[in-house]
Amino acid sequence: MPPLPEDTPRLSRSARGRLAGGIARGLALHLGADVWLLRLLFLEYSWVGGLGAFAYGLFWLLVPLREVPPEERAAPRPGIRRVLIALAALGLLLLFGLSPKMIPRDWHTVLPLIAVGLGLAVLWRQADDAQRAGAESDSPWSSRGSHLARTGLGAAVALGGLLALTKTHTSWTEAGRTLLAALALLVGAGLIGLPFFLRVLRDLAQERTERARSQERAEVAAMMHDSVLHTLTLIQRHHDDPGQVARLARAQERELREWLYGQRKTAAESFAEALRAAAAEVEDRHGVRLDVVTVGDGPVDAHLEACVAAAREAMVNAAKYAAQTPISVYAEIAEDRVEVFVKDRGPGFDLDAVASDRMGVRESILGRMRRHGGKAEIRSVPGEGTEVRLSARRAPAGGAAVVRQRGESAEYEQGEEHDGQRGELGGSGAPEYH
Amino acid sequence: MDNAVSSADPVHPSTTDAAGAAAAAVAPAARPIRLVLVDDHKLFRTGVRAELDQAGNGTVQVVGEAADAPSAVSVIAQLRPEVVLLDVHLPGGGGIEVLRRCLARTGNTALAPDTRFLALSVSDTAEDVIGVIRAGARGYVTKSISGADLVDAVRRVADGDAVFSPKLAGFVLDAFSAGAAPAPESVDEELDRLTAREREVLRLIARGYAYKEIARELVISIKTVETHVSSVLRKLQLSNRYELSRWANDRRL
Repeated sequence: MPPLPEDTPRLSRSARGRLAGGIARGLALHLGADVWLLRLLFLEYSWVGGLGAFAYGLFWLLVPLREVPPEERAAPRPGIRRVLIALAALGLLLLFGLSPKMIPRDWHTVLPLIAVGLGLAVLWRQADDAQRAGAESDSPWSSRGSHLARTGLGAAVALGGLLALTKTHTSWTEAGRTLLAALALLVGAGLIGLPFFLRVLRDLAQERTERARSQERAEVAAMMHDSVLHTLTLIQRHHDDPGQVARLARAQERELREWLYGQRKTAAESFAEALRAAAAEVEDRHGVRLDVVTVGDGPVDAHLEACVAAAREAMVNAAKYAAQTPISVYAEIAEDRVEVFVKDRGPGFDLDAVASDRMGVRESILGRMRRHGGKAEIRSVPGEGTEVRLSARRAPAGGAAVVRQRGESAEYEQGEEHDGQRGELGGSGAPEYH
Repeated sequence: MDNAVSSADPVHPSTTDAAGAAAAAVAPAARPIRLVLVDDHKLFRTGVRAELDQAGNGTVQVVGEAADAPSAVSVIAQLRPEVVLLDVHLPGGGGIEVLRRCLARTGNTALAPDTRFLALSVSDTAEDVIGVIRAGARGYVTKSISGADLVDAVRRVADGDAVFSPKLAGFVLDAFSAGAAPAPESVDEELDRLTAREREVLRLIARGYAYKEIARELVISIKTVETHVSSVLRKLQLSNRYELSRWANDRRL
């Protein structure tokens, strides 16, 4: 038999909206039928020689429990509904019409049986819950007490039912002796089976770690194949273009490091990540190497966004005019302020000698920082390199001060939009200073 | 990723070896620094050896090599080099195992008491960097370092100074920041706090300044800069600060 396609909806016991094992709910979702109709069917057929209870138990044992995702739920199907109603009618016919004798009327037997069934249902359900709690690990301590209580209650009801069942036709002493014998049998069977059981457990644990390991290996292999091998191929193809080779190698190194040691934070929630992303973009575009070091971290607001943009501009300038030298980017994020330093060891320039109307640096770095209540300073010594120092205040965690500041700079916020775009153009196109 | 902190400075006012090394910037020294190279990649060892020969101009002599931790220990014990360039990730326990076995004292003497270790790695995670420093290395540089910077770092370590990459300086600032709480059982205030000057020096290192430039910026002598960095190294190795313990624990120290 060929295997089913991956996306075939599979029958499972539903973890949501279940009374006992989630079987009726799971079947209802799978078939697109009414859940109460199915519950009624199981209940009804339980009176037909225990058929319903037996089927329910089998389902519980064999069908896995999980939450059924919405896309796997079947649409309501009238055909199935008709079949189920017919089955219910057949059950009624069997019970009352054809053989009324089949309905158990011996309450001394039936009531203990019901008790045993209920107790078992509670116990099994507890096992399910424990399994699920292990998988999701949601506050195991708070529910532990009630978990034990319910398990104990279930066991008590089931055992009581069994006791009553054995007691029905015999005396109390007889019942006690039977129980004792059963207990001895259980202990003996447990002792005999224990080594095998332990071995199965050990094998299972081993198999699980092995599976985890092979899964990890598969992930690494996929990563290697998708990016590293791909990059190596590209590098071989571009072997006569050193700039391109360096760029590819650097981009791959960054990706690999991110994969191995990455913090997995988005640029919006981490200033350090935003700065690193900006540096990566500059590295890619200009084929340089930027050493980014950050101390502390925090979320990015409008002011800090401007700070990242200004730092990016400084990196672009360093990449253009000091491409062959080490470029250091250092950011310190403190409680109340952020400082960024971009230092290169390029030729440097005389700040005063650059005509003010031609200086992109004045607008995109100095002006931008000033508009956002920050400060920018450029120190350049001809022959020794340039360092751009940015500092910005960080909005305190409270609300009022932030609102006031933002109100004041609202119109500049608009200007910032244009500025940001020009920064982008400047990055790819015309040189900005010199 | 990190370039070494210092660039060659001809006016290095340090002890015995430093004078020789400073002179060696012009002519090969009479007695080169004896160095053992420990790395499990042969290709990399060959490359570093060539770079040290070329950029070192005879000031550094590679006297031995090892590819794993046990053989590194025996080579170091036998040759007693002044400096060991030590990879962090090695078969047989890693660089930390080499440091532990070479620096552990049995009775009165260690296996290699006068040997200084400079860690060299592609990794720049905090656990690796802090772990190997706390195990006893006197410096940490990454493998992307240029030949000249590497020679300079080796010379500095041989002189008994510390070598901090910008990344390492960043980690230290993070670990000693006001926000990071000191370990509750910590009792030594002096070890658990950086002085304002040490903090300034570290910040400049993180910003990519060479020792010479730091000295100029803070209007102090290079020797003073070196003293501050060595003092930070001592705190880094001995402090009980929670962050440091955590990072080191990740390396099972």
